Amino acid sequence: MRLGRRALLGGGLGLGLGALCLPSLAPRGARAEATGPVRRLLIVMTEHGAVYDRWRMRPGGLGEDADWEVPLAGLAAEEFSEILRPLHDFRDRLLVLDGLGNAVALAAGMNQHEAGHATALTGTHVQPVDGALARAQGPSIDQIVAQAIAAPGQIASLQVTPWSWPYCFNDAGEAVPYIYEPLELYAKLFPQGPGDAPVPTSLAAIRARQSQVVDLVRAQYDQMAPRLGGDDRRKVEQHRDLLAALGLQLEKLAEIACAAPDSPGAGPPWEDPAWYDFRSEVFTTLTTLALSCDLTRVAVVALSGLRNEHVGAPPGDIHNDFAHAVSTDPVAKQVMVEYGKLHAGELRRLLAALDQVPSEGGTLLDDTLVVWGNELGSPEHAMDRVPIVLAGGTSFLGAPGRYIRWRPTHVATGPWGDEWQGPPHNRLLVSIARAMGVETDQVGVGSVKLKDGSTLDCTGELDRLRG
Amino acid sequence: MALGTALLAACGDAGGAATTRGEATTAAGSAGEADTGEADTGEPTDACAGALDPGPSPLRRLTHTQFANTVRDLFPGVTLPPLTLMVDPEVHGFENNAGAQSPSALLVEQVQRAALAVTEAAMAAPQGWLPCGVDGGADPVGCGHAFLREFGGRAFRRPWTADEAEAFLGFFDQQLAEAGFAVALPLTLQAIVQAPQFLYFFEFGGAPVDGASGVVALTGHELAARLSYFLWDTTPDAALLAAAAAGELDTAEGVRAAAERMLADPRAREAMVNFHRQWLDFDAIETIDPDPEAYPGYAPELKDSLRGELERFVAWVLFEGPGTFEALLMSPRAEVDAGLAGLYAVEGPADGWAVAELDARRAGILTRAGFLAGTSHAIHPSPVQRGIFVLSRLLCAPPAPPPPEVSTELPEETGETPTTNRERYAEHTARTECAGCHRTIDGIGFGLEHFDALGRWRAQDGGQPVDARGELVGTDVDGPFDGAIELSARLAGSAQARGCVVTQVFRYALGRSTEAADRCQTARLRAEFEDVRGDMRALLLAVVTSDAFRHRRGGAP
Repeated sequence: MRLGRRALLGGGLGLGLGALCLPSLAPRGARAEATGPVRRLLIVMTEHGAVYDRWRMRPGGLGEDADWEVPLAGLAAEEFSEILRPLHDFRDRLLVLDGLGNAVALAAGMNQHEAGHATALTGTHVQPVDGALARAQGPSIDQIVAQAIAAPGQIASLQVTPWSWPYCFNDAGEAVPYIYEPLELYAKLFPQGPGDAPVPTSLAAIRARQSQVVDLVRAQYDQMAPRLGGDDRRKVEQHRDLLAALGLQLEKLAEIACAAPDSPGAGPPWEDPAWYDFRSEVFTTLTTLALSCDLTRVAVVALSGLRNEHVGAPPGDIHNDFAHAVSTDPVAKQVMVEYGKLHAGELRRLLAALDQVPSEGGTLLDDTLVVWGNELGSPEHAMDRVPIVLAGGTSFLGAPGRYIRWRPTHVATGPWGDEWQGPPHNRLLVSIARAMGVETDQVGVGSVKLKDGSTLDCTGELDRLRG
Repeated sequence: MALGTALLAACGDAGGAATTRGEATTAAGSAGEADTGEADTGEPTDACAGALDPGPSPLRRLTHTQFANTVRDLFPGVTLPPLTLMVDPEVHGFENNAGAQSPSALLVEQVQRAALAVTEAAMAAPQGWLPCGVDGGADPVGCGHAFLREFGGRAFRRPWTADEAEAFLGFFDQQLAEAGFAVALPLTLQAIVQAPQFLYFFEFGGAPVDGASGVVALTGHELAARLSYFLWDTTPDAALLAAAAAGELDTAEGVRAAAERMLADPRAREAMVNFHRQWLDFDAIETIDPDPEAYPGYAPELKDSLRGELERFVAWVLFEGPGTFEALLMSPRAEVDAGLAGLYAVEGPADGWAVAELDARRAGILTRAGFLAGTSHAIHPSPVQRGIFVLSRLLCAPPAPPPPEVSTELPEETGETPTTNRERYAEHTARTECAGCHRTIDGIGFGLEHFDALGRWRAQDGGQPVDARGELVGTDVDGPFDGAIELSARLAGSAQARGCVVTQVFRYALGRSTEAADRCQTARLRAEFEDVRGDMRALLLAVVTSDAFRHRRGGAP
């Protein structure tokens, strides 16, 4: 089968895009060869939560202690919050969610960056590991969705980052590793390279027979597994099954015509702040390309690693000197506002790139549910009011273009303090799962114990999201 | 690579503990480690006189370093391209912990691509490893079969079984018939280096151990692999495989003899530096970012010097120097290049490296610029990072994480008279909720205040004389001290620190965390380490001849 799908990704990401020499852009409205309606999930994770009073919107002076929502379409740019203003152009395709809590992370009793990473996309309890980063206790939403919608032979999901702790976890709660290097992502998506260099006959034959090699290797794993027990056996069986997926991938991806851009190269050295810009650029561009070519339908991009130069910060550590001081130091607060604005700008460029790729549903953006999430609620480690923005394929969830506010309704308890929180973020994960075609009523824990001894039901969809 | 794993970390350091990479986050479980007796300093107890228990032996896999070294050694004479293989998650700083070596789609694909790249390079330079031409010569089948059997034995670290020979040679024959030797051979080699017998260390054991129910001795080949990947970070050589086949590794004496030979080999130097890199976190140097105004002479090239010096120092201590833990902490002997010579204010070479004697204000690892810079922020050193390093890496007693939602902001330098780094930290951590832990952490870190964020000596900070008085709390060498030399000397005399060295070596050698079942093993090793007055080379030999290293629990692995 030849899928015959061609990349139609255009420019628009700015820095570095020219070097990628992406295929020329087809006129908007033109359609790539369709293989049927496809839904895609793209999760963008950033860190340190949000400076809430500069992130939130209160059009018309709407209050804190009520549930409400307003359409975004009628808001002028200056009515958008400072941090979210870069997204104003896409306001009719956004869902801004204000008031969700990550109660299960609060209950973890450990560094909340770590707990937030393990819970943001899983909703499970945290599993501490002596001497290492905590794990989750079940799969993250990207893995749940990937298992449901990835076609055999597709890359089930992509996880890329310049520099971040894990957000993605497999069924056993083990971290799904990231790709850190742009060249590594390029090699994964385009193992044959740009395609304009002649390939020796023997090398071409070797490449063409890779799935046969994998089959032989897989048989060795299959024979070894029964000789083992417990975790050892599970490890070998897991490796065997991953090989089976790789074998299919090697066969199928070779059949997908996705014009390879030039190699992005290694980029600037770490000392150069452009190190981050380059990675952000290449990762978002190549991820968009992978989605547009249907090489994958699920991707997670964890954007972390901004330098002081990016956010106008004086010397000091963004994490400890500024993020932790937003409530007491105006300079630190402004640094973290700039931090949020910069990431919002990155998201806007990503949405613009997706919107330039024609697709069955209109553009790739229409077919892709984009989720902008975070491991914390606030830079000072709160787990309430976790900032969430949904974009693109928000029609999967109901009427797009809304700002939805949930008031705090209960007190979730943590080992060092309590928080008033709104709905548990698990329900958002359920809504995402259902939007992507996974019929489930629970992602992560089913409930969390509250301070008053009652339990917070974490199952079911997030109310009012479907409008 | 360090960038891939170096992350946000502890919230406990007002200046940012970003380069401590998870130390504070590990503390939640640290009590368990301490509870296993790792901080004990006594002799094995009577309870240890009973049955032998080697502890668990979870299935391990080649690390990214071991994979690269092994394919390098399997294809002599071939210049291999850089191979991208993920670094497994660190546990206690080590990259070889079996519990973290879960396979992933990324790993499996990376290994496949690496196999392709390795054989492509190898087929371009066959002279050093292939006994016939790349077309198979006059007898492609004969050459292919003979070579693959020999290669397969080296790759699997034992002779092939009949089933393995049938599978791999059958595949080769099929590919040979369809595509020719130049395709069939690399394809088969690719399969071999992706096979479980290559990537994983399967240990089924051999003879049951008398008097130890359910415990089996590892086979000679299994032990050869453990030895080789611990002491060399690569595959056994022909002599080690021959010793395994001849039964020479069936006794502790035979293992000791093999290990002594291996430690005299240059491969041990590289491997032991790699152990120290992980234990003492040399990778922290990769992400230092000194402020250009505070350190106008700094250039990123200095990072190579900082790292190079640490590597040369630990190698010298272990292989040419006294070989002791004390020397690691107290020796003033250094190797410097021009950049470091300026930093240390000693005579240095115009090019390359030269031996230098550091002045009396510096001694071992805690006074070397690489460590000091790696535990600093852009402008100021971090007493917190330095304290946490000593507690977790040298004393195996990492502190508990700080409570969340505690602002760790450092007060601004305000007023006519700037406060010192020490005063800012002291003021900041004086609050009740911070003081308990920070008395322990900063009490150590303050002792290194004479060294700035680049590791340079400073007599003054913020216009004030540096106060480098510190205090050790909760250790076996508690009490006040003044400055880095006294701190280093105190730690060099600490049985708790020597016990921690044993724990770190044990974790690395076995590729796993320690647990309660290891209490007797590690207690014996600690006693031996005390007997040899902290001789690291003797410790390596003690570990490889220990029951835990040479045995495993019976039953299905």
